[in-house]
Amino acid sequence: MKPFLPMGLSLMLFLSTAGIAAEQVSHQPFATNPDAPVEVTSATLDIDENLGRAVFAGAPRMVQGEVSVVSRQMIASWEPGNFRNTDRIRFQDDVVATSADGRVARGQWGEYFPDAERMIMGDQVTLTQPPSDSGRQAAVLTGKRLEVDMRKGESQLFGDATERAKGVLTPGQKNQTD
Amino acid sequence: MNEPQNNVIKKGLSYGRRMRRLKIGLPLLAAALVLLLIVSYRTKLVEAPIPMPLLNLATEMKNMLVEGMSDTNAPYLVRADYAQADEVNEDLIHLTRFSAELQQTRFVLDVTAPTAQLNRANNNLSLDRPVAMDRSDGLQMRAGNSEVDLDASKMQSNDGVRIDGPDGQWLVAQRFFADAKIGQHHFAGSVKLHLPPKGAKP
Repeated sequence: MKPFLPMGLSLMLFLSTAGIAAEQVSHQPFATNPDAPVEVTSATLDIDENLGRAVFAGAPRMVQGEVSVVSRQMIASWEPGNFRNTDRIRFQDDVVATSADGRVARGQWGEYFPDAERMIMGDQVTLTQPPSDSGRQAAVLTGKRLEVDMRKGESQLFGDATERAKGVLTPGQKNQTD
Repeated sequence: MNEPQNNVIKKGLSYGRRMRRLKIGLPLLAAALVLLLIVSYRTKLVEAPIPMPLLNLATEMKNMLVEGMSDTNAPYLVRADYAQADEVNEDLIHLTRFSAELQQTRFVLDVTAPTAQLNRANNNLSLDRPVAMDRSDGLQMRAGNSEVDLDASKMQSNDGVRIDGPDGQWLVAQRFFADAKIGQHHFAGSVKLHLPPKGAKP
């Protein structure tokens, strides 16, 4: 799995997108392995076949490959009568997505679209990257909405008219990007 | 000289005629009773909830077969290779090689269990492990000991459950509760759902 964009370039992009709906592009922090199964664990699961809805509660956790997502509640939905085709999975309250190398995205909600393998997070999103032994810099990026193409591993962090996306870098041992 | 007595035999039917009548009447009476029992029994099969016809059966019965209609107008079929009344609890019926087929809106449900007990007092059915529930839409459920409330169309188990989907997906939990009337299912205890990658063979 490839890491974020080189952080120097990331920061330049951050700072250069000072306009409305400022946008940050980072590379492959949350790319999933499409050949890996999706597994969801929780304390409880409530299924309503008439509504086409399944609610996972009690520390639900979804894992595919090396990417995991936890939240207080996960709701999978499908067209009633067609349980074989889940339209979307919505994560509610305290959503935390974690990649293999410790990069973490936090938000209030998230939505995962299995067919498109895309995920959206809002409303206040924080992306954190721990420093690596190879000298990768620690970073904290914030925005209003995060969109992740989990197939390509590409993500975009958006601000809005009132709050632009922004980031803070903490230099590592050496200025090496990875 | 005494007056001749009336011949009482001559006043009534002769012995031979009485016997002839009995020979005809008794089989007819027996046939009528059997017919009455059959009609009564068949009526109960149709009208009563699932195994209620067992109420008036003898202490044991082979190849039990019950057809009927649930209170939600879903046709059902219940079979047991062997049914036997409990020697102590008169409300309890022991069923061997139990199976049931229930027509639902979107699928047909087949339920089997090696043994089961019907409690006629509360119309509760206890299914012994392994309980298998196969739906015509491809879902297969395997559960441990399970309880069925026939009146309420509810089922539950605290003995573990696993559901397998037609595309390789599966779900496990320690407990489950299902309300068939409203199509809701509750799973609890180490719930785990597995969805295979797209294109993977089940």
